[in-house]
Amino acid sequence: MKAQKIALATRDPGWLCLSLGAGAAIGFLILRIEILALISSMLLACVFASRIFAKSCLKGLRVSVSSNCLRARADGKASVQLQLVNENRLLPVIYPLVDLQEEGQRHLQSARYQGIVLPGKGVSLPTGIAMHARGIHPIRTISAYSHFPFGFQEARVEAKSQTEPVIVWPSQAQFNLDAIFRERRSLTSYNNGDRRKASETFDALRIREYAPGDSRRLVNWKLSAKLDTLIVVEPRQTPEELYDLHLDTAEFLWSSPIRFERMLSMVATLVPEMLRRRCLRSITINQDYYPLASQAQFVRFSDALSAVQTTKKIQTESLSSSKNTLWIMPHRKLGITLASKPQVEKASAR
Amino acid sequence: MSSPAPSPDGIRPVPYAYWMLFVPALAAFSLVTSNYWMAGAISVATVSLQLLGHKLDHLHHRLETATRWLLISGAYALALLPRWPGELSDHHWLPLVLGSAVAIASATLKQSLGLGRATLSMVAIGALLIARNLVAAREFVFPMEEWLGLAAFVAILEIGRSRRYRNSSDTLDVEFSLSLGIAILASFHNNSPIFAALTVAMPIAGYLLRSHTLSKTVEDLVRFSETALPELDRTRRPARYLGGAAAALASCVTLFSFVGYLALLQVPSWTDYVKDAPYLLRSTGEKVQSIAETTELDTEPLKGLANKIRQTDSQTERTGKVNTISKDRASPNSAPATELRTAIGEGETRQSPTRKSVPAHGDKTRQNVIVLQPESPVDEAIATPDRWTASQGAIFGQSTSATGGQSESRPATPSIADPPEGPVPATEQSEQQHDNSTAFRSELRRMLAESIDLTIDLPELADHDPQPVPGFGGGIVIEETSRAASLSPSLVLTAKLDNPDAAPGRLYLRYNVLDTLTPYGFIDSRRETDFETAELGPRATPAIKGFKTSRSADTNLTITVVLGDSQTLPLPDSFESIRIAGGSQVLYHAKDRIIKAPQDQQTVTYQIAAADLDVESQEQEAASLSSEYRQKLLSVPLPPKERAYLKRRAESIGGRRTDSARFAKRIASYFAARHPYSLDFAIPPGDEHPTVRWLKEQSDGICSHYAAAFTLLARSRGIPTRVVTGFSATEYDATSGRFSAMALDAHAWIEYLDESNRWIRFETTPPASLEVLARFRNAAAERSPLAGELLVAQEEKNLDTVQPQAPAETSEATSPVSKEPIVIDYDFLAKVKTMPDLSPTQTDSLPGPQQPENEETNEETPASKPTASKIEVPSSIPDEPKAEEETATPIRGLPASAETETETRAPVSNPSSFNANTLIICLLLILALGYPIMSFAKKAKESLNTPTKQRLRAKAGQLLREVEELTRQLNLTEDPVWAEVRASLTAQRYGPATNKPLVEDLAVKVALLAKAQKKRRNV
Repeated sequence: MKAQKIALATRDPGWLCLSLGAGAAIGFLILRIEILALISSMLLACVFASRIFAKSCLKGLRVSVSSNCLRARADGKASVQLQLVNENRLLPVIYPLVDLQEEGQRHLQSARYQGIVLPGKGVSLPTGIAMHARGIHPIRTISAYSHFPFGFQEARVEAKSQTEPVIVWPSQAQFNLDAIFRERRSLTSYNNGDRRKASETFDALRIREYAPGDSRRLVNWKLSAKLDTLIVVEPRQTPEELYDLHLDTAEFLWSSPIRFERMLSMVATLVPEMLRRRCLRSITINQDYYPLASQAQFVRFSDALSAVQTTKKIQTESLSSSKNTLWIMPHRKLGITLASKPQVEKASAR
Repeated sequence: MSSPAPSPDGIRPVPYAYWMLFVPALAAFSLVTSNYWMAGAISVATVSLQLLGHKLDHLHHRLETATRWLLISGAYALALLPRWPGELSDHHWLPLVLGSAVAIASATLKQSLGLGRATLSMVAIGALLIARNLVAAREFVFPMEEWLGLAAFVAILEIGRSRRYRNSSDTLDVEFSLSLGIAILASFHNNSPIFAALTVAMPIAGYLLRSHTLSKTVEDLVRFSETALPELDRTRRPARYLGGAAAALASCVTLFSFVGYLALLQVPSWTDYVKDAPYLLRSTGEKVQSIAETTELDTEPLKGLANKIRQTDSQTERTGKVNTISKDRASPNSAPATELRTAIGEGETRQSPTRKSVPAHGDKTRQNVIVLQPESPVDEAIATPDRWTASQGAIFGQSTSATGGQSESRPATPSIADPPEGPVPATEQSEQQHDNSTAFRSELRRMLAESIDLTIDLPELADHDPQPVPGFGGGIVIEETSRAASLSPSLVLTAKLDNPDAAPGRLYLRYNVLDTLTPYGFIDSRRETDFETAELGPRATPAIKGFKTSRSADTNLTITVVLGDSQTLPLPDSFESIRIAGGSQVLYHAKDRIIKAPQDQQTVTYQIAAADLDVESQEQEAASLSSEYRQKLLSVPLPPKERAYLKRRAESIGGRRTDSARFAKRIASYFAARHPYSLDFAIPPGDEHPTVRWLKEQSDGICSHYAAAFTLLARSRGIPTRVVTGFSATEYDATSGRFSAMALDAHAWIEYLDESNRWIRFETTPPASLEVLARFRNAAAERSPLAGELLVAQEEKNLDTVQPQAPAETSEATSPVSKEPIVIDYDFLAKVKTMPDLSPTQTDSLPGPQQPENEETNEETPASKPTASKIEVPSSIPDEPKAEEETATPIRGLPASAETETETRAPVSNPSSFNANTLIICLLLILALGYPIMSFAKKAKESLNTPTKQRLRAKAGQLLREVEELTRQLNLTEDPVWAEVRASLTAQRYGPATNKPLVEDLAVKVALLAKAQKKRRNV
């Protein structure tokens, strides 16, 4: 096997020992005090022996990475499995670290096997890598390194290996959902009297624990007090209208990539929330129609969202619109807003 | 290796890294300061702080700071106050304030790195010492050695109380550097390579351990995998921690260190190539070289002597002529063996050659001494070897039976010594023993005579021995004192005390009086005409004019001295009378109280009656001291600048108006504090007088430096003072009652004239530390084992020659030793064991030479006691036939005898040979290893007592790993049975409850699976 190049970088304790050893050697040569020779030889011996061992130990380390995780979210973890095999005959690899990288990202992450890989043995190291970018890309190992023995230096060996591509969904964004649902409020006649009536009749769809993002009005305080946790009662009220969302990724609308990515994150948060509220039927991204009736369809939509790119011109203008069709439009403060056809037309006319 | 786990009682154990850095630093510190109390106190305080530190942390902040401040300021005060001389007693607040200030800084700057604080303390202490020197000596001198000692103190304090050991993720860089620093300091006080290696290797190992542990636990931006969880880590750690790699790593480090060390030592010194290298560096090398050369120089002649003796031995064996050497050499000083033997055989009353001590009768222990008793009847000589050995067996059998039957007596020839009928009647037995013992005694005496005879006589020994330089005979030279002489082990004199009770710890013998300062040192100013003559009377010398009548009437001394180049005789301070062997008159010098040695002799033996030995400051009336001589004793013929310096220094150290006794004590304590005793002295070159340079430089020194410096200082203060040279013998053999002095015992002290016009002897040399003494003893080559015996034999000869001159009553009157039996060291029998004719059965019954020899035995045994544990031989036994001596067995046992002699003398004579290094190394090892071993033992004990639940979990985890491995190998990962087993094991491992039978059941299943796998592999 081709010998791999191992780079050594001295760390602070190593520098200390090296400088003390060299200083003692110089001191001995000038002053001829024998104990300085002793100190110098011991310190330098430790440093050099440690370097030789670090190199020899790491020489036999082979790293491969695999992942059985096809999808991940950009702010979540993708679980990967590192296989560390020590091909040395005698020397163990002590506490090896592996640098992992998400392709297309500059951020390096290290995973450590908190133990010793004995010669001729291999270990499997399950670890998780934090995903940062939406897209479809593999996870790669860059290099493996170790600080042992003595932590004097960092011996680093190149270890190239990568997983199958992982679909990374956009991350979820924190934003005020109610602000975006303003449109909806104007469309439905859902006033205070209706709400009181609904809560009194207590025709509940389901009773569940409070989740972040739920309206405070839905909290049933009496029940919450009894159960000692916040309980939300979802009213059995099916909205008459199911909405269809239209998303246009034209550069014209999403001027900067940051804004575009933020929009995608918000969409990735908005859609599940609307599904939870059962007011969303489908979403059209540019000209691709994604019905959202089942989980599988939702996954298909999310996969599409992770691969979507900006387009040159607006493509959804020509689409037929009904009363319940809402366009996802940029908003200066909120990031996105849901707009009806006339508003869009008005905006584009402007 | 990790740090010990916290114990449940809340006291957090000390981490190993701390221990490994602190212990060698502590040992090094104790060596640097020789202050074991302080080292102990610091170690106890700091280790308690380490143990209870986290409890202190919980205390109120101010209380904690106050506690620390108290501890540290106390330590500083203890360290600094002894450095403050008595004269400055008004300014004691200065070190106290400094200590308190440093302690405040130290207590409040808790989070400081330590190096800054240590540097601050060291700088402050340096400033304090300089201030002290300015005030005390009005000189701007930096006291390097004192400062180094205090630097070691600061370092040990910083290491000891460092908070970074405690449950912290900090590195120990500062502590590590300080620990190595103390190790370097300690190496200046110690020449043991083992100690040096230990004090260096242990902190390094501690630092490596710490660095290793830290890099295992602390990482930035590292996402630990699931296995990083501590509880998993413990169970999943491989059984073999590093395997052979640890050993390989350790040996690699050791090998590299060794090779690197040797390589560094091979690098030539740059001072060899530079003309004007700094004096200090150049002289260090020279000093080392000279000491090394000295030791080699001394061993070489000894080897030559040994070879010569060996050759003589073999020659004798070849020719069969025993006495050729001594007979051919008919010098007047060497008495031939025949003469000696005749002297014994003819029954002359003669003085005991050496020993006089005889054990008390009925002593339970076996005595290793044979007494040759003059009154014993004449016995027939039985000379055949068989008979001789038989008799010997009988004697020893009797001797051992006298000890209470502790060892069985086994005579070699039962027909003679032990009749088969049973116990012999007492009278018959004693008769038989008498016969046998007589035979043995005569044989023994013959051998003794031969042994003395065979060896080379004293002048020849002197030829082979390095030239003895008996104590600064002609004067002292400050700069060029011969280190070879100072390390020479050649025996110069032996002084026998007839009253062992009067033996002082140290015997001072005056040799010469030096009163004149030269540019190089001191010399005497006597002229030949100054000597007066006194006749030696038949009984004893009349009191020599000028010598004081002694106060110790009972103490008589017999001194034998190898004269060499010297002109005078070593004498005690005062005595009543002197008798010189072979001399009828003496030349003496009244003012200096010295006696001229006879010119025609190589060795002189003289007896001194009523000598004063153990009076510390011997006082002597200076009856008629001329004003001229007094002026001479006050003169300091130096340039005015140096005189002024000496006067200033004398007044600042000794005080302006102090009396002479107080002045002397102050100067002596000043020397002890500033000029440690060492052979490695270095006087820098310069134009000033070497003594002044020595005083200024605060160099190490030897006795002559102290004496010369004291004399100059005292004369500058107006105290008449002179240097006295001679011997200070400490090697005392209690059995023979003899002091021995070697060339290295040459000494110099002073005598000053006090206010009441008396001469006061004063010891100016500070006591050397044990390490320094041990170094000298190591550097000095072994003394020739024969020298002592030969000098004694020479003394005997000299006394023999004087005997006919002295009437019988004289010897009776002057020396009680003349009536004494001759005592032969029983160790002489060690050589008998090596005699070829001796059968092994008889050697069994020989008393071992390892019996203690040195017990003090002052009582005399009645000579007629046959059951005494000594064998008594009359010195009037007739000699054996002459034919016998021609065929006598060549002496092989002589070296053995000599060896045993030196062995037995060693423990008595040289208590300072005890090596303090060994003790410190042992302590260091015990301290360093004891704690980790105890900790491991405790851990092992704990693991035995771990709760069942934990053990079951650990076992389940182990089984789980095995099952995973086996099912993977056997492709059974999908098998529902094994999946269930895995699930059960996982539940046992990580679940809340454990089930012992279930785990055991699962263990059986796993074992079966492992068996199946093994079978499959075999197929």
